[in-house]
Amino acid sequence: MYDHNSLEKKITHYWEHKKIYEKVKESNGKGERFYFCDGPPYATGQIHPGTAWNKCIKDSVCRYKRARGFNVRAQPGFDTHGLPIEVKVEQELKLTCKKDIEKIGVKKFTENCKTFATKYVGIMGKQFQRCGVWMDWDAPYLTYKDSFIDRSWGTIKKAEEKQLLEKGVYVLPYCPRCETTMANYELEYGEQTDPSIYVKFKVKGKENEFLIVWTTTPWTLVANMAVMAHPMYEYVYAKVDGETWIVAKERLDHLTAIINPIQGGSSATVLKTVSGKKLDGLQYEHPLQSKIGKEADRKIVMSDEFVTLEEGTGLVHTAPGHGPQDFIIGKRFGMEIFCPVNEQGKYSSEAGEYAGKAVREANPQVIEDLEHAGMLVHQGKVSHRYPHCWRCKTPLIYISTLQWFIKISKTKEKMLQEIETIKWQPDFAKTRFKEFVSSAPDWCISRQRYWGIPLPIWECEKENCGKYKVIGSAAELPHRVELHRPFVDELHFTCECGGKMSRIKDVLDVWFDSGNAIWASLGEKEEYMTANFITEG
Amino acid sequence: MYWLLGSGVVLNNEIPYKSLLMHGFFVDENGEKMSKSLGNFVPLEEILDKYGADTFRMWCLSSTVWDDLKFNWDEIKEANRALSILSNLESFMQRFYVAPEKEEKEIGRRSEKESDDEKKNAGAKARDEKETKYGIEDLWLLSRLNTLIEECTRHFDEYETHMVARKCRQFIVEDLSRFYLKVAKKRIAAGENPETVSKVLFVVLFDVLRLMTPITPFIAESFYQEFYAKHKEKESISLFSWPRFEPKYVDPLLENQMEIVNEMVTALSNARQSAKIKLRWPVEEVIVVTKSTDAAAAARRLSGTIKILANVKNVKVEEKIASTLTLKPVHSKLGPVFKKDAKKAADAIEKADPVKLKKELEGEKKKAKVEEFEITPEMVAFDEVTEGYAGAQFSAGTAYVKTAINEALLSEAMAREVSRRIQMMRKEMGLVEKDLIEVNVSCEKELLALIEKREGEIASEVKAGKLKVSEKPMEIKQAHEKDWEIEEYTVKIRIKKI
Ligand SMILES: [Zn+2]
Ligand SMILES: [Zn+2]
Repeated sequence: MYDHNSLEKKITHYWEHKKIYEKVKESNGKGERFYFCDGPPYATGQIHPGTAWNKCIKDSVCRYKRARGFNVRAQPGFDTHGLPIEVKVEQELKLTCKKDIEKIGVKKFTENCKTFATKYVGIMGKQFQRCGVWMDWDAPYLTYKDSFIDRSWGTIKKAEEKQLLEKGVYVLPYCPRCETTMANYELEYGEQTDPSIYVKFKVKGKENEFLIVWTTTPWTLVANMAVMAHPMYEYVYAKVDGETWIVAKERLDHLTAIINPIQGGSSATVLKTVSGKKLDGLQYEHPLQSKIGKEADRKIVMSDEFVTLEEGTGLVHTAPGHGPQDFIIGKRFGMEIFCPVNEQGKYSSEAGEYAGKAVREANPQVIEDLEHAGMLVHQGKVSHRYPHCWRCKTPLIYISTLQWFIKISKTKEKMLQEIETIKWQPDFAKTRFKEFVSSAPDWCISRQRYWGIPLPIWECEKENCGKYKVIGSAAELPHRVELHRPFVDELHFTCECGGKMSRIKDVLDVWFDSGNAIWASLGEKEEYMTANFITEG
Repeated sequence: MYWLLGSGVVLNNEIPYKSLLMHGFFVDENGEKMSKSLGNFVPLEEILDKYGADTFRMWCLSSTVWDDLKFNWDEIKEANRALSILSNLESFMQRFYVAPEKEEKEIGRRSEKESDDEKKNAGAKARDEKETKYGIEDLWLLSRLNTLIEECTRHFDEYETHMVARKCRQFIVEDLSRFYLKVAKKRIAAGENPETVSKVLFVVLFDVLRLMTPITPFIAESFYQEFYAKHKEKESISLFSWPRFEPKYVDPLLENQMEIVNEMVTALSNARQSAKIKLRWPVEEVIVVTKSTDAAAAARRLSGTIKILANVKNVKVEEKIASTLTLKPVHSKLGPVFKKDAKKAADAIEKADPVKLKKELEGEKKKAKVEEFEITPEMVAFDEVTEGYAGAQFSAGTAYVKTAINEALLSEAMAREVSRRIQMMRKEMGLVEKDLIEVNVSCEKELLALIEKREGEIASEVKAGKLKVSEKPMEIKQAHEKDWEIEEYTVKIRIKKI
């Protein structure tokens, strides 16, 4: 073993002292441009060895290109926005929810976020340099800088011009603690135990006839609007303990075994068998009607894509405001996207007697109420994979909210074409990426948080006006302020109708930051250019 | 990269990057994600403190970029060992390299691209090429180097950084250290054209450092600063351009032949081991027996290399060799079948005629009757034995070493053993190449008889101004003294710097 410690210290000193990196750059000044764009790591702490690996790969390529005479642009970047940093700052300031943040003031909060991110920029830079990474360490790009935000706004403006920017109600994962929507790529799945219950829905106008449904989220029953059945499956009317139950034929044995395991299953006598199609439109009553109050025409609808015979009863509880699949079905059949849940993850006044309760914590009460109503067939537990917030680890819920989207569905074809035009290493990365793009939903870019690029959208406050304005650069602002909350929130425009326009309080998805890095990181005098090389995991 | 693509198409209707390299995840030894909360986290600092940044880089950059990188201390140590070899090469160059008086600059600039000097260089180079008497190993190393340059360039252009790291590493460990340096040291010791060795290493290592700068920038720079800086004019290895691939040096046939020869040398070392002949003992003759014309050609062309690496005087190449068939019972197969009679069966097999038995076992029935025992092929092991030789196989044949040690060679070997001890003591005393010493070697009569007449050889080998071999120890004032065991003899050596 050689004395690596003194060797590396000595060489580091030599490079600094003799300004070798600068000299290498200078000697290649007239060479062909090679633009490497650094995918920025989060500035949230000491670097992970994997992050160091990533940087060393980049460094080795840049060093090679320099040796080949290229004028390499190698500016390191840091991701300085978003929940990862907000959550750390909340911990530092001992805040537990958005209300706490509002209490100390958004200004103080975002200032702290900035201080936090800046602190690690220096520390991480030193660590990368210790790994021998030669980049422009004295001039990294930071996503929180006004110049970066300014250039990123241009993309939103362009989306607006191309009619790719849209506001809409969607059912999305939502963190009740962070009080914000999440995108699918932000979810972290973990093993979790939840109730597993079988519930009776009384068929309308029939004294003793019930649909049997299964759910692991009892709290969503409050927002039940329909039941799905598969048109091609067979369903049975079965006599069980003096009642008539309707379930998929193939699930009957499973059901009877569950409700009476000791006797090897309750005896069930099949009265008749019908195809799923025959159940279409069958109306039923909500099992907790007296508690929730919400009236609706609840009935069976047909779905061949979301009903399976692998679990449950073949009849699927549907709450269009609480599940992406339920949402699709709800839209298809023109149901109300009923979501009696507010931003804190609590039932709203629309939830009748449940109003004010945190939804997941209401599970026991819902079960108890079902039991009292005589509608609970069976309750057990299930251990399954469930999505959690990627930052605070709270179990997520699905709710429908009004969000801003970039209509990827309209640009997808172009994106797939463009993929074919560049070099992919390895080849399978291209295949994988194409699959990803093909199945990608519209991009929900709005987050209900504080420390991020503010959405450059101002809406008219006047009732029924509905106009909004998107700006594409800071120059369009009434006057210059720091491009963060709360400063930009204090700026207003006047609407054509004379009304006052206020900024939508949302910030952009943090992935939007790195998604704009190639042009947003460029200096004021630099023209837009495509990057020659990027590498990511 | 998805968000870059999405935003790029929105903003400018195009994908905003021209090439993308995807890399895998960094995971622990069991393939699990590495994190503080899981308790399997190894901080970067710990790796850097223990082995340094270059080692970390060499290790992680050797892993296929798009596969997951599994953390592994042993692999990191392995990477560190490769860099230690590079570091040893630097000390070797420090000790051994003598700059030729005037051409040094020209060789140094051999493949730099400064166009002004290009023409002048070309002329000097051509002259230089003509004057240089390359040994076959030198030509081989230059061929390997240029193959390496071509490969590294191609791999970097394809963003296959792991291939660059692996190939450089292999070149240092296998080609340079395990092979070329071994031959070079013997050539230097024997005075066979050491200037060329010096020149070739100078050129090759400089290119290797430039190839390795993107992978291990610190050690490459350090090697340059410590050794090359005094011979070259630039401030940093990074200020030189990428080494140029020179196809005229590439000799694929020679590279292939050297590969076969390497196999032969390994086989010979195995053969020595089975006959308990140490590699240090010179052997009179080896015979390479092969039906392959390629292997035969390789052994003939590179017999000099075989002589050096296998420490032999003479290399013969034959298509076949007279041998006797011998056999041995395989006890482990006999036991289960014959139970308590297994011993009797083994005795019976040993008495059987090998040629007849082999023929029978290879016949249609695949079995034979030996006395009252029914024998099947797996119960007998046959071996071709050549009287006076020990053999071991390589892919295209068998290599034999002559087992008899002849007196002259043995005396030469013993002298070499003694020299080796003296060299070790010189090292202990911190002497450098040019220091002269006075030596007395005392030992019992038998050994004395073997080394007495080689006093002169030993003296020149170990740079002794005065060297005496005696039965009784002779007095040297303030001498460094040590007792050694050489084979079954005890030897006392006294050394003093003069
Ligand atoms: Zn959260
Ligand atoms: Zn208006």
